[in-house]
Amino acid sequence: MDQITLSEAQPGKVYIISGIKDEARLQNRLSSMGLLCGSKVEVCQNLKKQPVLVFARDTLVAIGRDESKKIMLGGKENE
Amino acid sequence: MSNCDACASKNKCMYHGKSHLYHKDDNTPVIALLGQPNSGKSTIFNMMTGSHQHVGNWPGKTVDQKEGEFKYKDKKMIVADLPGSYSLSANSDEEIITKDYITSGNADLVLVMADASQLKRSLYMLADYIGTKVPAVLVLNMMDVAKGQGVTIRTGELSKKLGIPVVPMSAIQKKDYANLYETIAKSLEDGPVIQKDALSDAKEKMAFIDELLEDVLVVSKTSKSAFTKFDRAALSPVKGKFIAFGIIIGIFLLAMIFAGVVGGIAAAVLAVISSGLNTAMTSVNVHPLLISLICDVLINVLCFATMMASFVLGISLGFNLMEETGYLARISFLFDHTMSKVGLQGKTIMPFFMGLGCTIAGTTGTRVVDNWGQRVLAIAMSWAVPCAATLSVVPTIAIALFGSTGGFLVIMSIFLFMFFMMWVVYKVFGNSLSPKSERVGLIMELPPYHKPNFKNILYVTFQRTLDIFCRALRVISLVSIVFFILTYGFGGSPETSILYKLGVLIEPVTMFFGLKWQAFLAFCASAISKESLLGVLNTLYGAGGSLVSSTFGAKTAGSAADISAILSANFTKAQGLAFIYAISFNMPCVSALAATARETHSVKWTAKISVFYTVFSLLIACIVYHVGLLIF
Repeated sequence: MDQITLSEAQPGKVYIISGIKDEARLQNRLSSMGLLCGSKVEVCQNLKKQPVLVFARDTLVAIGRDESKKIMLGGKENE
Repeated sequence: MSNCDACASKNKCMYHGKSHLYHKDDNTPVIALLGQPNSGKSTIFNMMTGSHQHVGNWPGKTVDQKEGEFKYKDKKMIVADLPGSYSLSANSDEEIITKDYITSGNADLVLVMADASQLKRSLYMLADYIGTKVPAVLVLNMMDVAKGQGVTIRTGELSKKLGIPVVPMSAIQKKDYANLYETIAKSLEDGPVIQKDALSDAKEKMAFIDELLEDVLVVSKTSKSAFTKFDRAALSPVKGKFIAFGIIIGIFLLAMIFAGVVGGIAAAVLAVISSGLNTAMTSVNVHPLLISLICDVLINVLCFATMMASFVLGISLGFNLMEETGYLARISFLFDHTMSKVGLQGKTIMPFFMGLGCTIAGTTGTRVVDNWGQRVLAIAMSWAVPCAATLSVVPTIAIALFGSTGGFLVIMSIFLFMFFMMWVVYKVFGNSLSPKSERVGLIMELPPYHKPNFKNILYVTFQRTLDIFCRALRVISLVSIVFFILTYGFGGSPETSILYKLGVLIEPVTMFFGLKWQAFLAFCASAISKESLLGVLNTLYGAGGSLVSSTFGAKTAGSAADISAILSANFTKAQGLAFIYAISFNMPCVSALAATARETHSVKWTAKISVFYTVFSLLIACIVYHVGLLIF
């Protein structure tokens, strides 16, 4: 399956995180929010000039535009 | 505020591994609250300690340190509210302080907080805590919200798996505390410790949480209950911004009305007291200098401070309510893209609005920003926003000198220039306060909406406002007395005051900035209150009265017609424009400086920023004046 970044993800779909850019700070913040490689995320809203809104581990999380380009998504899980 | 008895130098006590704000003895147990931001930690802390709390800052750090005490069955206990941090991985001052505090054995018991409505994520702190052999209790907060989302948690099972007590509760509900206190008392005796080795990485921690919750989380949350219908509107780019602006303007107006009413009452009461005192003191032949000091200066200072404080109270109350209900995070989301361009979080949009009313309100509003550097940067930038007092003065001068159309253009230019000023402040201070390398873009949870505890918020807000009021009052009284001595006309007219003599002496210099000595004095007087500008000019240009009364009793001096005549007779257009720019972008009044020093915990940065503003405003005046000379 093609890899896309979170910034290109479609709302309403569930994805698996396949990679996060190697920045210690970013990875730390994301993991304390429950987001790491292999985590399942459901994209709730993804509009231009706004952070991306995802639902993961019981939590609604906003991820800035620039950060969302550093998160790679793998296989799409359609439920 | 520090009363550390363990050190020889009480006030300069560096963190030495013991309770810093309270003296701890061996019989008084210390209970530490550990949790992520939004876990309801502060609410529990406030509900437990009530008015018995101290707020200081960790020595050498700009992080708030909060400790308080409470009694359970006649036994005193100390509660330490550790800084909110997302993990214990030592990435920020908050995390380092939190980790050090616990590992150096300060706490007898740690209450690890988790949000029951977002359990899978919020147990991360507990997973991080594992390996620490300090007795712990897990507190599951927001059980009511979780229930509303249809979530079912078997807390008994969870407690059995962890080997420590689990307290399900809702932090805003008083009746839930009996169980918490009982558990605390019992755990202090039993010392329940999680018997497990530290987990090595994030993956292992997640796996641990998943395993832990297997038979515990019977029905879990869905994205539908997280991303609600209201959020669809509140987070949409256009509609959401309308809602946000509506709420912000609503808070602003309510605070204005509240301040107007309180200020009116205070002014009326103080006017009566002032005239009564005046008559009484005159009849017993008190020296006129003393009468003037008390009636003109101190009473009016008290009046300014009350008005400011009531506005600040209204604004802070609005902010805190928004934060407690969870709405504030939505504002951060909406404006993140715009504000991130200048290195700030979306939340900082609010202080800029509040600054239009009062710089102090804007300053205290930055408290919602969790990063110190960004907070100071936001305060520094919000100083550029002209406050209500400045806005009441500038149009009068602008219209008197440039007519209604010209005046309008001048005021518009001030607002445009405001954005430029903010950009300059960002360029000058941005990199040192919020270094690019340390900036983390927005990664933020949007907490579920929940009901706030109004009484608790009211209490906390009132306490903080009172603190600011007292500090501001102290500073403004001191500065006012100095200014009073400088402006007191010992021979009866303004020309006999010390400040006049100084003013005339340095006029050759100030004229370079386009400011005649009168204008320069008014510029100085505006440090006490911006409203006083017109009164001071009125007096200086010979309308009579003493400079003292006009500085402190702004509203009474000179009618609008008088002041217009005075302005157009004594200012050339170039000078007038220079003056307008100088007073609009000067540093804020001394009360705002006091508030800034309080909020940033840094006198050094407050001084740096105010020197920058003073110098820069004079520089702008100079440029405007010389350009003006070419045009007009």
